[in-house]
Amino acid sequence: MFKHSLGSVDIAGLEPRASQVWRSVRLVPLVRTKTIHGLCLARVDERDSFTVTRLGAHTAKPDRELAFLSIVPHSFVVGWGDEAEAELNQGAAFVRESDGKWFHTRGCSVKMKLRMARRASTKALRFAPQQLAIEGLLSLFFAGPEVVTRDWSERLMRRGLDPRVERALSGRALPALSEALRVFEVLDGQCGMLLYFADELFGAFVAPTPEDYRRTHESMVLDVFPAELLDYARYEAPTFRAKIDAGSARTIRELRAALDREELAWKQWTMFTASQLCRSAMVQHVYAMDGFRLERFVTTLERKGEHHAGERVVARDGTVAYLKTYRLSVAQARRAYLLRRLTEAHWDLDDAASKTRMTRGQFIDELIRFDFGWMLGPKVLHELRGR
Amino acid sequence: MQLHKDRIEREDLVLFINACLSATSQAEFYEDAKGQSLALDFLHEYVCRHYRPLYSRTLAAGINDHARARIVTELLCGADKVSKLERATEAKLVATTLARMPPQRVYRLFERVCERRVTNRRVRAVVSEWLATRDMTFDAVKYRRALRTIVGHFHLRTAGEIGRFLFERHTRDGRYETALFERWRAAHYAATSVFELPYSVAVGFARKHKIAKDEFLEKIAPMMTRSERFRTQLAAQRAEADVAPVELSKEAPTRIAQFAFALAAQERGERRDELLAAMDASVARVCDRSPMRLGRVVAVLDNSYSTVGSREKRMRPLAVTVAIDALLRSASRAYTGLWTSAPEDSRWIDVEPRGSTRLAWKVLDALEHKPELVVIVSDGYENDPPGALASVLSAYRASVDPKRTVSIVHVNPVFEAASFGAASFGPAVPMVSVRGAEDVLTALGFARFADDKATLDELARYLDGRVEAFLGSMSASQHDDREDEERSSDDAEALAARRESSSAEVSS
Repeated sequence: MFKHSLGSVDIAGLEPRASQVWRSVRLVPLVRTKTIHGLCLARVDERDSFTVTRLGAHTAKPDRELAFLSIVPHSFVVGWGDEAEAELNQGAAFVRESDGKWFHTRGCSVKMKLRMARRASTKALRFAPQQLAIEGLLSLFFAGPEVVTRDWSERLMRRGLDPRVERALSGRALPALSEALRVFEVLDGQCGMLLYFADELFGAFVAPTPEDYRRTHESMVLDVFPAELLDYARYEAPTFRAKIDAGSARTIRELRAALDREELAWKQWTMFTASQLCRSAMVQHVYAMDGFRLERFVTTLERKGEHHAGERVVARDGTVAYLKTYRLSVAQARRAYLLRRLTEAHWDLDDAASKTRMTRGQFIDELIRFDFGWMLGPKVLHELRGR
Repeated sequence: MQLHKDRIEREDLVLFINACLSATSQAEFYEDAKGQSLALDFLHEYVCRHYRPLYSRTLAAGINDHARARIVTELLCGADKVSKLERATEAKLVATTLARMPPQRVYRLFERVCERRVTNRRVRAVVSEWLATRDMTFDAVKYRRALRTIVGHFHLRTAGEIGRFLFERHTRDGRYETALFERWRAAHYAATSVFELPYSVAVGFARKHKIAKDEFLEKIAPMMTRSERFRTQLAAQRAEADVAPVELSKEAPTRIAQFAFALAAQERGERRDELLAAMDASVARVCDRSPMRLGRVVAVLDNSYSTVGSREKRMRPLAVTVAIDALLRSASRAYTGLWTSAPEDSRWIDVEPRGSTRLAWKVLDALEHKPELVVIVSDGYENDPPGALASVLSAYRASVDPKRTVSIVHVNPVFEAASFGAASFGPAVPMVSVRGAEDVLTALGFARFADDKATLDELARYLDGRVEAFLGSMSASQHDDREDEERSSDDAEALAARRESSSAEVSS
């Protein structure tokens, strides 16, 4: 279980602007109100290599080591300091050439990497966007029960610890998304983007500078999304249409005033939809840079509602320099929620059930429905059910 | 009832003519090529079936070559139920159009007729009449595949060795009497003969013999037409071939703008003065040819990111927009150009495609200048905020200026397949489409039909007037259309080059 503190997610230092709609996708550009100095971002293409990332590189017992397995489409490198650009180039070159080791076996190639976030040069850090956050989510509350149970121990002895697996959908499965990113008209000074499907927030991305953003804008199609996005992507995005009352404006000046009012309404509408992201969250510190810190977070887990996991780089004053989120699917959010309740109740089923305001039967049903049936041995399950 | 019928007919025609002015079946920024092509197929079939007389008259309305070729194909492929009188006019229009179209497009058009398996006395007469005006020997080499299809399909008679050249395979020792055919045969076996062939044919042979790019471009330069030289000049520059530079000022404004945007930023900076001067000269020439003069004009010009166009039409919308800017500047008494995301009155060469489409405020700025005419040049996709301009304009028309003292026209360089026309800013502004900036003055003349004011009769009369001018100018063999002039001079030049080379051969 990772050490986390309670914090909040927001887009401090950024302001949403007029959104642009393409079919089911609505893109809200974010423009900086405070410029960021001494930090920059670059993207390194990893060509969808199947990657095994060793989580603890210096453990004394390599056979007990944890690893994170995934397909990595690309990595991000952040450089910081006075000569951030130079550091960044050096770091990107390192990631491109000598980060990780390839193992080729018959018909498949695997890349071995060290740690989720690794230093790429003196003042540059490499990490795989979204996956840093997803790894955090997987390890969250997942250390098994603290009290010894027979079933669990037997299972561990026979099969080892079951890996925690979650599935997500690549943005490339959605033709509307790449089309929307292509036709989106990037604003001057734009540093970020909120991504909506059928007016549900499905992703956020913020880069430190406008140049970094322009370079990485189209790479959002490589992000992963929950599978239920396919349903949302069927609907046209609702949009705002400006309406000016012809009776109220008699001169050009009045027309202009009416237009400004419409823009204000438009802005408020955008702001309102953008506020979905501003939430309380569990935040874990990952890495400290000069004046900035890299963190990953999961918005506070509730039984229902939308949840986001992500990673971000924030300055000391709280300005968001980098942000990337992944929206959890309903099942993923519920699994995380159940695990959290179980951990809090020290894996006591009755206690956990009462904390979730359910009967024990309901709680067990819920565990089974969300793929955690294996935690309870068949015998126990039968007994509990019978009671 | 009649009134409704007239109105529907007029709207259909305006929609159709607008499509013919801009659409080319190529991908646009927001749409792919397939959708564009399907929409055009439908439009042409619909208008041809319902309003055939007006359909054929559209040929004279200054529409683009792609639309002309489609109309002629449609007219040739279905001629039943056409009255005799109508048939005579149609025949004249078709002959005149074919004479003015570039030959490669005519060959493609005839090929399409062959694909649709149409053969009748009328089509055969049209084809052989057109072929009689051509140098068949030269065309047999340059358009071999097309000519073979056409001759085979229509069972045409050919003179001399042409039949053998078209239908038999070349062999190592099957010599031809005709010098050009012989050169073409020799080019299959030796690299030396390649440079005596037309450029488009030589390109294939150059690849076959693996001739280096710079050497090829240097030696083939005399055999190129002017537009071929214009098109290859950047390739020649990159290959460092020693080819004489093309005189830019002779090109049309849109092509100069496109050329400028194709250059790298640094080189564009270096050649800035040359490009600006070329544009001025070109624009002056266009204005000289058109009698139309405008009064106080303010243009609202869209240089949002969507003006980069598509892969097939790279930077074309922006090039058209900047060329319109230059053209209006020189054709009007007082002119101000307002860009959506560039400073007021920027030189055309400094404009970049950036930012979102934020037009409403700029149009209000434009109206505050108290102009006689406001021209909005945009692709019609307004997104900041959506629908603002349409509602501002309708409110303006309804309450601020109900007497229409200021005319507002929306000029659109992009065809939108989904709505069978270009996207527009609502009923308060008439919208006209253009393909090149050169058409903008014609398009402004056409704008009153896009408005609700003109009747169907007026539109028919306008078209009749255009038809008269079109046919009349042909009999006097004076083209007012600049591109045609270019083409004929192109052909004349190529012909001269060809004669020269063949006479050289005779003397040796």
